[in-house]
Amino acid sequence: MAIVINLDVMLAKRKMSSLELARRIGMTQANLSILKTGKARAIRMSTLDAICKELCCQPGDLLEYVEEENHE
Amino acid sequence: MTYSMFPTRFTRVLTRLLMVFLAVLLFFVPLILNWYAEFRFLTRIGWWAICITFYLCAAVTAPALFWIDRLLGNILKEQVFTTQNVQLLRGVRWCCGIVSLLCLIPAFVYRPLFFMVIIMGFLCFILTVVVQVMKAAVSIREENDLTI
Repeated sequence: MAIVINLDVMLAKRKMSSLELARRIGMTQANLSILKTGKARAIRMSTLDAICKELCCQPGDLLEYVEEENHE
Repeated sequence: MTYSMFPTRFTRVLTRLLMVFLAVLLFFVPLILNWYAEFRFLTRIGWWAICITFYLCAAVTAPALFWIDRLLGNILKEQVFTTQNVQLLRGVRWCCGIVSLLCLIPAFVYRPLFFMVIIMGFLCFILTVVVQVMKAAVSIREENDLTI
């Protein structure tokens, strides 16, 4: 998928662990890990809202579009 | 869990009873056929056709019943939309198809077996559709599992 989730970067900037973030937004660490590792296929607006609220950031800080190279 | 598991448990009990019934029937089919031949005209060839067809179909039905039991067990464990269940349904579908084919040739000797050919063939077709629906459901579930 071309959408990259920069959750690790934002967690480092806010000096917060993923465990702490998971606890604050009421999510399991396993689910947060799916998000961090880019395995998530979709994200709910409510989840994005909760993460942005805790990390005091914009959705654009978390989500980045990276154009995939076309392999011929 | 918002639905009752009683129908699933009941179906599983019925499946196991059918397994036992099939096992018991294996010993009594020749006797039943002799009794049947007494009041219905049944040629010697017809007797053998039904007997052999029954034993061949029983060999195919036994694994089908076992897979149905496994499928119901998975549903009771709330593992409904899984690839394993798709495989189990596929197996049952093939068993129905094989039984339909097994009954085809003996049906020319004992004509009522044509009903078995048609019924099991139709069941095979319906299960093919069910397998496709399950595959789509598994795909949707996997998508949902990866929706955070």
